[in-house]
Amino acid sequence: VSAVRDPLVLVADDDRDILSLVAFRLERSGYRVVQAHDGREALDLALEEKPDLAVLDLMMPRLTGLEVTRALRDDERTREVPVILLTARVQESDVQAGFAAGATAYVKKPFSPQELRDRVDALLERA
Amino acid sequence: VTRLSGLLRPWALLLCAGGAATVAYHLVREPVFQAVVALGIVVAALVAITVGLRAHRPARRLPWIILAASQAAALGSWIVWEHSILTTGSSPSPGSFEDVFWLTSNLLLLATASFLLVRRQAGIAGLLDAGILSAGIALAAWLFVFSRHVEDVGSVGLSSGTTLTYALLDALMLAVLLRGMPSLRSAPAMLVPAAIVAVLATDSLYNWLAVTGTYTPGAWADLGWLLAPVFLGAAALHPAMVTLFDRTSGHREASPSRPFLGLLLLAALGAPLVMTVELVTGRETDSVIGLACAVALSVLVVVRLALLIRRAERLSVALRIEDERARHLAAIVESSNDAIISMDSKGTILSWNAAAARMYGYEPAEVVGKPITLLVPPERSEDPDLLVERLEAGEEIESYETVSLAKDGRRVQISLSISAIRDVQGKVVGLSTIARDITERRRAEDARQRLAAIAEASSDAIIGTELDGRVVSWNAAAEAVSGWSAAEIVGRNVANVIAAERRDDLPELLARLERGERVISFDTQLACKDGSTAEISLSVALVRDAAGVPSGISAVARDVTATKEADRKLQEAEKRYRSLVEQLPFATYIDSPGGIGSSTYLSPQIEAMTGHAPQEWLDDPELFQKLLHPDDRERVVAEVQRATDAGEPVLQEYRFVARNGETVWVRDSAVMVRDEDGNPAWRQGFVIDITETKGAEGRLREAEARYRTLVEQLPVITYIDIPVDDRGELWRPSYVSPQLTETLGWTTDDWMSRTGFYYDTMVHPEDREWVVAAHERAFASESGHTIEHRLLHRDGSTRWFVDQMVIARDEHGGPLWSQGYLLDITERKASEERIRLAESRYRSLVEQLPLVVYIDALDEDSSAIYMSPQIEAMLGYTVDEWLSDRELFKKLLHEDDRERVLAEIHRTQREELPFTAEYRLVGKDGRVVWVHDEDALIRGEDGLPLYTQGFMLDITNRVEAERELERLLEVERAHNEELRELDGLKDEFVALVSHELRTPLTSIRGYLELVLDGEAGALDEEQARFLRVVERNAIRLQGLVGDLLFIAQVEAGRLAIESAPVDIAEIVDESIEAARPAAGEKQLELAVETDHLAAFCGDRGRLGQLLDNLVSNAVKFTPPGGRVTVRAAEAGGRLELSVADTGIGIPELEQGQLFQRFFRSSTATEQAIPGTGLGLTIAKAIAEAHGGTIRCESAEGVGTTFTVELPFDVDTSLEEAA
Repeated sequence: VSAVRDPLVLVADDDRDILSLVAFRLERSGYRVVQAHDGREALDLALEEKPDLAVLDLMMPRLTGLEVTRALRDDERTREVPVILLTARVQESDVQAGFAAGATAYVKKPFSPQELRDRVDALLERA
Repeated sequence: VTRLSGLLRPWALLLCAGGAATVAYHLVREPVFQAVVALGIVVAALVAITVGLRAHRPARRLPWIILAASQAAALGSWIVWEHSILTTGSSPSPGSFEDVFWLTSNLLLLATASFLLVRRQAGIAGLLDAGILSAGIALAAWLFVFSRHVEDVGSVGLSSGTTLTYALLDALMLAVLLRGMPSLRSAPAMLVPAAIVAVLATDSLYNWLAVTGTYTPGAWADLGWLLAPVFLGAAALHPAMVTLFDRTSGHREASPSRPFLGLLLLAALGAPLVMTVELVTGRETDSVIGLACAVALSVLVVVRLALLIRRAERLSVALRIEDERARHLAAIVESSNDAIISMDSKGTILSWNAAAARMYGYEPAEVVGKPITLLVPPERSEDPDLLVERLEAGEEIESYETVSLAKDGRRVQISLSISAIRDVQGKVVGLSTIARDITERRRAEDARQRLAAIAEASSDAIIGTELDGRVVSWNAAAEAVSGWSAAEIVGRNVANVIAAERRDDLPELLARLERGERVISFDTQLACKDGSTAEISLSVALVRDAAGVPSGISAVARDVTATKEADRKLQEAEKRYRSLVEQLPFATYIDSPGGIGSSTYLSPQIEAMTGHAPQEWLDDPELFQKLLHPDDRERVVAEVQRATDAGEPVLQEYRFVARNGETVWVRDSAVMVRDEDGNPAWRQGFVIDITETKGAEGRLREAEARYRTLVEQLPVITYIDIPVDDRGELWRPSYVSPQLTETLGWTTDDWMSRTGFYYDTMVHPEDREWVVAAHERAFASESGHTIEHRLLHRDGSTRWFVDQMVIARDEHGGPLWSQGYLLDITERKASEERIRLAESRYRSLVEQLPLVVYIDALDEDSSAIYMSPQIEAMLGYTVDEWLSDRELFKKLLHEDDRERVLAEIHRTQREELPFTAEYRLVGKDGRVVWVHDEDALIRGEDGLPLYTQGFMLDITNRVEAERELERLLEVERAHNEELRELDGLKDEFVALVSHELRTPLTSIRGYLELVLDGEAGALDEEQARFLRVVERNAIRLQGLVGDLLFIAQVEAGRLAIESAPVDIAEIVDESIEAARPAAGEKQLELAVETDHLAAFCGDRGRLGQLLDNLVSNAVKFTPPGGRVTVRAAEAGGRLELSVADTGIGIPELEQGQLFQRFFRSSTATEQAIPGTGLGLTIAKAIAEAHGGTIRCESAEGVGTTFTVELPFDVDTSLEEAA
């Protein structure tokens, strides 16, 4: 057991395939991953587990990725957690809204799992 | 220290030392010491002059060399002198060598002085002066030499005289000195003359002492001789010594002419030489030379004097003229009425004349030396600078109007003329300003313009003339009255426009004016242009100039032609009638309709009848009743009252009690005169004294005759008929007044011929029937009638008459007679006809308008008084139906509009406002007609409302058109709403597709990537190959989805492009690299030609997509072995990207459709080249979003080139254009 635990990443997407694809890729790359299937669950998990980074789909039932991001930013405990938004939208306004809500980065769908992992690595400064 | 060092200068040192030595010489009376001092001083002077000489240019040395020679001679003189004193104890005897030296010394000193003289003058005058000087020197010297011979002769007088030669020489020196005296500005300039003066004074003193025999050598008298060399030596040492002999006024360098120098030498040295020769040889020379010198001197002096006199005369004449001119100019300036002020270039006032003092209130002493800005008001402070600038530019300023400030703060309007005073070089050194006060002129001008405007606008004619009657002004009203325009009259004599018979009025008018009268309402006549005359009433006044001297005449004329004419006619008419009435043998009266005692006129005959004058009757309304006989009073009053109330004629007989107590029987007959409306206007009647008639019936005829006289003078035809039977059914003419003939041409005999004549012949055939009937009715009635009808003149013309007839009956009602008159009313009828015609013209106009015009009464129902016939066309109801049915309008109002319209009508009526409304009426055939209705209240001249008038316009078509338009707009709106909904649906669809297609694609590609990366275990080669096929198709699918979304965005107008610096070369390289695998498979050559490009701003991703699409198309459509070339270049300020291939080309017919979405060329489908038909559509959208264009050139089988042109400076407003 190493003294420094592997970083914990919260991944949330209502599409189970994509959820497990992202989780698989990140776990293979040495991250610990918690998975959420909707926005509400993602927010609860985030507050409970205090992950080092969150990957959130933009369009999710119960709470959207934007709402979860805003809630994370409003909470003392999760204010500093980096958030990557996954979006199928391409409109500039969507991207703007994401950054306005407090997102750290966004990745457009379709994306390659490696590309996403590279972004996570970069944000957590793991080369 | 400075002063001390000044004393240490050599010349000052010498001066001080010399002075001290001189003092010592005087105090120590030891001869040896004195000799040493004297010689020392002279030697020092000699040395000083020699030293001074060497310090200066050779050209300037000559006078100083002569001075040095003079001092050398003086040294010789002193040596001989001192030797004589030391050895013999007395001064040397006259005629010794001492005299030779002395003479030489003084003559040379004199020569030096002559340089001072020459340098003052040039030319012949200078030469003459030098000649005089030389001759004088020579003469003196020769006289000196000659003196010994005189002594030999033994004459004491002559001896004394020649001794005075010393003084003569000195006097000459003084003359030279005075003549050539330079300004005493430098030390040498003072010291040289001082030396000469010292020598002069000492010589004179010595002469006097010698002659009187009181001279002792070595005493104080020698001091001057000692000081002279000291002064000369000091002058020679002074640095300014050279300037002493420079020419100051001439233009040439001081270089004495040769003859002058020769003469000078001859004069200076001749005498000493001769004297020396005589002393050595002991022989005497002749006196001839002395004589010659004297003669030459006289001649020269005379010539010189003549020259001087001529010059002096010329000078004095020139001076006098100059002086005179200056005095004149000064007088002009001083007496000028304009302020004349001169100033220097800085604006300081230098001169100020009397007019300036008057204008500004400053005395010259107060302002000279002050700046001119004193006179400039603050708001004009920039003026002087501007003016100076203009002057310096060479402009002359004339009549520049501005405002200046006087001492007491007054604003003075001035007109300025300024000229620059320039020096020789043309530089402005001062300004001369002439200022004219135009305040009064401005004020007068304003006043004059105001008066002129009043005169011009006056409705009265205003005429101005000179004293001789020449017209100088003639206003518009004068033109209106006379018809003459100002252009025709001004300059001509006013007598021309006075009517010929009234021209004599003018002298009288002038005389009155000259007596000082102001003539008001002077009536005269004007001769108008059209030949008529105009009555005018003149108010005339003499115009005086400022000094009170008459300078013209002004007249105001009022046109009184119309007034005069009317007055005259009225007076004439009244006079005629009054004299007529007052000559009648009975009293006539006029009562106002009020009744008894309301008389407004009584003819004077009443006085003869009753003893009371008409005025008494008018003054006392009760007089009538008082005078009535008590037995008749009640009856008469009652009858008058009744007749007044009934408006009937009065005819009764009663008695007055006259003033003298007699009873007078009178017959009183009066009728009520009515005005046009039929209301009683006044009652007129006459009272006849029938006292005698009553007594004697025989007088009846006389009375009747009188009656007849009256009747026959009235301007009407009077007639009397009498009944033929008792019942009054048949009448015959009994009398007709002769006016019948005058008025209608028929004779009284015609009239009297038979009853039927009137009806058959005179009454107009068209009126005949009803006139006969009217007469029958009247004869049967109580009172008679008044009718209007036409009568025929004997000449056949038609005239209108009013026929008023009354019937007199006895107590039982039986007809006695009928009497009446016929009054010609043709004129009145004619004017009525004119009015009727005018009305019918307007009516026909109104009735042709394409709308309905109406006039409504101001009653409750607004019932129609007039309705134009167009109403029938509009609603189907005739005009008569409208006028007869007061409720018709209300009935026809559409029930939906009825309440609103009636309320509006009532409101506007109540508030007396114009009414405007649009509403529906239902026509007779049930058709609904929209009308536009407007009316307004019409008032009479007294301001009271009379009726309303208005119009109704059929606007059914317009309203229906508006309705249709409204309906179409509604449909359009609904349609737009649907479109908007559809648009929203499309947006939602695009979002859905975007999400729902991309999410599964993400899974497919993600998991494929994992498998291909070997995350799920190693793959064999075939598995890997198959999976790559899956991956390639997933990527294609993704591209297709991207393209579809892109097109959707473009069509929704949502394509946004970024604007950031883009490296075009890099994009080109990336596109080539991306296409390289596909190109490699077909062995295509990929070429790039990129110029060095300026920075371009645009959307990097989109531009890459554009280029990728074009390059991949080129690769797809180029057969193996071909070539694809990508170029990027700058052309005409635009970026030009082109992709050229050697492919199969595009059929020309299809080139126009290339950029339509989903379009695929026939060659592409035939050769089964894959594609969606979106690539070019996207390329075009991107190019246009950057403000650019895309075009295609292609030839089948040869190749295709796509060229994109993009502007470097993308206007942001174009970014949204997609």
